[in-house]
Amino acid sequence: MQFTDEQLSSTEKFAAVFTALQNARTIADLETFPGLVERRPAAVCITKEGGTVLARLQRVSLVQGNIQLSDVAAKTEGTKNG
Amino acid sequence: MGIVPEFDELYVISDVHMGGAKGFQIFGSTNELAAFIDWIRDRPAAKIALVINGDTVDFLAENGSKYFDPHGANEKLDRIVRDDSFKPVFDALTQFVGRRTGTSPSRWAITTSNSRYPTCERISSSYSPARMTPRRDALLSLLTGPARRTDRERLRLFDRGPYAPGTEPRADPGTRYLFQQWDVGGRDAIYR
Repeated sequence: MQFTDEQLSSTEKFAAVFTALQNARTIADLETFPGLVERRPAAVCITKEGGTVLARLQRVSLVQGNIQLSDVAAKTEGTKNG
Repeated sequence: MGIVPEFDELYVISDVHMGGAKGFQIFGSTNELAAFIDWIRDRPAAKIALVINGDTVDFLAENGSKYFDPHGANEKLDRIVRDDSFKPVFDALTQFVGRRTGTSPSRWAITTSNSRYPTCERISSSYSPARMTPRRDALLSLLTGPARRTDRERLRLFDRGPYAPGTEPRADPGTRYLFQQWDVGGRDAIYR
């Protein structure tokens, strides 16, 4: 769930979010409010490449039936031979 | 494989929270997760592990949930596995752990435990009935199929306690699953 800066800085705009939260009885109800619920599946991927261990947090998306991974916060820290 | 296993690739997911009736489900990435598991399964690397770091199923999202429900947990688990929203994930996991290279297993699913409840699997929401061995066994059976002991042994149970290189990991003879102290984050290869 994400509250935007605009929603947090405006009484009127936050009131709309608050009402949505107040009235929702299910997750599906919450998802009818535009942008309130975000789905950002991610996985930690640890691989050994050329003797170096790489650990990455990667966003997982499905594009035309194919898995695509994109770095969220690249971190390349490893040692030779693990 | 030594007592501290090594893999060519390791993937970590957590907090999938499969559970709940339609409209009351937190998990909404069925297609992505099932495809991701298939993608890992078919990677060219020889030995790959998928770490499922807790809260895979969510009994508390189910109708009639209770804080402690040993008698109803299996029924809830059966429903979750059959739910159209989650079945593709369980199917993918079953295919994943069934892959072999020759006669050797090549894909491993690892579930984790925590240090407070070292013999309890963190496969479901906190303090839920999947912590109990029968629920854990039921879930593992669903993932690996009946009477495939070698496959079941590939769902290994790890403690989050620190692993100190050079010391003997602790093996618990009371469990069928390899049980040892091993902290992925503490390995020099990853942290240094």
